[in-house]
Amino acid sequence: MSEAPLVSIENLTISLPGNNGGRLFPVRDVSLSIGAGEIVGLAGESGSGKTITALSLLGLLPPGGRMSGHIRFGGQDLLTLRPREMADVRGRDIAMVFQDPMTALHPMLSIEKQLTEHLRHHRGIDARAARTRAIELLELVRIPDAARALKRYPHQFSGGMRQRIAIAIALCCEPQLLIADEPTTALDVTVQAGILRLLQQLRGELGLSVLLITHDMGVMSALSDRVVIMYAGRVVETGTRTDVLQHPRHPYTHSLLGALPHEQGDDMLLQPMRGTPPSIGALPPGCPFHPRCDWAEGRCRDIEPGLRVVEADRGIACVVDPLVGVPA
Amino acid sequence: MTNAAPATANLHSPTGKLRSAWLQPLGLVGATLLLIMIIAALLAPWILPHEPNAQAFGRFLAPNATNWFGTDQLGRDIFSRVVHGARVSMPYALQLVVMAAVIGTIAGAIAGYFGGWIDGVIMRAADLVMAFPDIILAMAVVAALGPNLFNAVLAVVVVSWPIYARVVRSLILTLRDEPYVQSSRLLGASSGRALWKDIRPNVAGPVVVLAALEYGHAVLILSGLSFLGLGAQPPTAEWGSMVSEGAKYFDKWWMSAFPGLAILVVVLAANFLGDTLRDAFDPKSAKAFR
Amino acid sequence: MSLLEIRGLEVTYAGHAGTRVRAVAHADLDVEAGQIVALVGESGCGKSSLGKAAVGLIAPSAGSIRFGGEPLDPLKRGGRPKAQRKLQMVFQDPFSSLNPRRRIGDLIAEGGRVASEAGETPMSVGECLERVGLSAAFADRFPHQFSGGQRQRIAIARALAARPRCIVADEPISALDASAQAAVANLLVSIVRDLDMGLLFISHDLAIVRSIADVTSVMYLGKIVESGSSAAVWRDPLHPYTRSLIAAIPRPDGKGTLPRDLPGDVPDPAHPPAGCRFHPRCPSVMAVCREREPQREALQPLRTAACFVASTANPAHDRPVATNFVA
Repeated sequence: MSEAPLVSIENLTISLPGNNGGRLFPVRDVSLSIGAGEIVGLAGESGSGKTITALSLLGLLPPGGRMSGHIRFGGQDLLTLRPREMADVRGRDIAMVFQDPMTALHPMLSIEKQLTEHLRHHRGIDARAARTRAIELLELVRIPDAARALKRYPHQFSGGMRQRIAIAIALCCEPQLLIADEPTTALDVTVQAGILRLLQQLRGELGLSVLLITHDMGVMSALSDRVVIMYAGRVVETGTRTDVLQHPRHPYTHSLLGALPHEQGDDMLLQPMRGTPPSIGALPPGCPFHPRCDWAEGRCRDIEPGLRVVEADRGIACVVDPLVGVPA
Repeated sequence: MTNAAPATANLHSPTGKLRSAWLQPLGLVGATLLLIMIIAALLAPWILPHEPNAQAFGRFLAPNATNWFGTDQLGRDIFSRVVHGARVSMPYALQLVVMAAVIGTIAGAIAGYFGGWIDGVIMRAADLVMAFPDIILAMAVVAALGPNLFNAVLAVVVVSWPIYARVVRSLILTLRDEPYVQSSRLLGASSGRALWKDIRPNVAGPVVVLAALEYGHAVLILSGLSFLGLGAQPPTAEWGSMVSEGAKYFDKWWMSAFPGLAILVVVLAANFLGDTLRDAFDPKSAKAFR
Repeated sequence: MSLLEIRGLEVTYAGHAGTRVRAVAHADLDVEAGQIVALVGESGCGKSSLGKAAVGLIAPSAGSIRFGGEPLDPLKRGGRPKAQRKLQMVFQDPFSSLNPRRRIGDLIAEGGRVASEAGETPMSVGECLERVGLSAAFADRFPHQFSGGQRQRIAIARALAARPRCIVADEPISALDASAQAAVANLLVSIVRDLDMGLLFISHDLAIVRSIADVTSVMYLGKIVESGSSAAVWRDPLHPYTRSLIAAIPRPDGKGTLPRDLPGDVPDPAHPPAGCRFHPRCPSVMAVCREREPQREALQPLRTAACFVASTANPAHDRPVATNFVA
């Protein structure tokens, strides 16, 4: 990255109150960056910490949560902002789209109301200008017959349309970064394809950066420029989409790709991983993946590996690094 | 070791839910208060310095060293009467709540399980009862049966059972469609067996919570009926009737204030306890005890 | 005679304002012993309704279901007939498929009772747990102490304890993590093969289904539009909807190709389009598709589709009536 990235998360650690008065660390020493106009995919299973990392960008931690590290955005460190200042950034410079389109929209307000309210709050423009902008936004997300759509209510739209509207609301103040947390998981696969295409178009037309959080490696592959894989609160692998998905170097990435249905000649294979992801309250010593790892050695139990840069724009968190040069 | 707890600048403890810190102590407070009153009520005959009905002191004495709560128009010690009042209101209210809960639960279970016209009849009966303000209906029942404490309890049971019936019925209807109930049916359990083995354990919790929340309400209505002269009759020391007597002598504030305070404390305590129990039983609540 | 035979099934619900919604509009399906049949479709296609009707949880409004040659009755107030208890179901949500207040040993033993009542030696609770990859020591625990994938295994163990001859699994892995999905899917397959059971696997995930099922049937808006061996359906789909479905799946191959989207929305099942239900969205629509509804026909050996476009493209075919496939 020759130019400074748009967002740079450095050594982020998040702690939450645990059940017995102690603290849990669902995110430990996570660093990742997103460039302008770049789509970065953040992948991981449940318990990997991907969603809470995204929420930290918006300052939306659960009660009792604390963060340390730096989140550099627009010349500021977001972690030093006061709640009021953070509220300004949220929605205006960084916006988020959530998984469930059914609950993302207010069921009792018209689409026009939901779009313009946001605009008028952040930008203080008048009703007429807000309405014009609202129509623009609906057209941007390819909702047919935008002027009529403004008058309707969420329940009159399908899941895919609602998600598009949610994206329009997120974009109303022209944010630089859009965080999409599992934006298509609740949608049918044919509808999902449309939303993925839309996100790519928006990146092209608006220069929008996207942090795409997903557990679906196919979605990651279709849309991301770069990929960040998280496991049990740590980043375990980063790199370009092609590198990571075609030549995964971390054992977890390799096993995960193997556990997905993948074609091999005339067959479709499914190779399960053994074990389950650990819960944050009961992490194994050393590397959190070592109990499930086919290449684990003795030292894996002693050291929790940090992310190491192994090539240009490629990092893995593994002391054994057994997969150099092995294709997926 | 990269895992050491980092030095955190305590930024962003965002919108901490203070309630979650509050609510548990509140339950303890509620339970403790109730416990104190129950113990005092049980031990009353032995620990109290004076007889509740003994007209042993000067009339209308303000609270003093001998009569902590003062005396009433017949020279009786109000403190003893208030404590004895607990022996009336609290057990009767408990009895009432248990009877209403049992009747209501059975009615609701039958309505939910059988459906059809039985459901219709039971639910319409419940609607009928709930259409009236509870105290008015209770008054009507007591007036018909004759004003005494036993009939007052009966009247409040008549007025209270519908809420249990409604809650239990809707629980049963919801739980009937849960996959784990369907899976039992597929394994051969009849509707009745599924009701008993799978649904019943999941109904008990909410009913207990409801009963705890209703307890304070029961105390209140019972006291209200007594206040109106339709419940406990003189000379029984009962909070509601004591408040009523004290209302005739307004400047002697201690005659109404202390029994009224007793009612307040019990109702609040029951509510705190009920709230905490409800949170404890709610599987979705973060405050649920495990 | 198939193990599970569904003919002309229709499932109708009362919709809003007096409309009737045909969730399943005339479906034929067969499952043989030792065979895995997948039923694939997106939301609203009726696959769950078909699954529930197949085990008797809901009553069909038309058509017949036969299990082991005998007609299957929907569940009534009494207990389920003994013979039908050999047809079990695994549900989608691992969090509500086990009673939170009962120990899992107790839950599995209930399944075992079915087997003893049928005169068979029941599998012990420990055996069932081990067969699904869990330790026998877990029998005393409660469901909330387990992860989603483990709970699904317990649900399978419970069904297994009844020694079923056929299992209907309604989206059994959709709610699980990717690593658990593969494991539970493989578990189901191994159980079915070992015990020569039939499995009706309902899913929206064509790729998973391709890996584990022998036969795949594709459903759209209440109708089965295509059916055939999984390999053939995947490699050479006959119906345009199947083709769109396959093209819409994003591949985790690192190539960055966007999957093809299918424009339009699934129509309201209460008011399906005239003619072929898929025609408003079909990329290959012809005039006849708007007027008449295509019937299911065998267009190639052991493959059926309900599509005018497909039958035009496959003219040289016998028209065998049988629609069951043996792997």
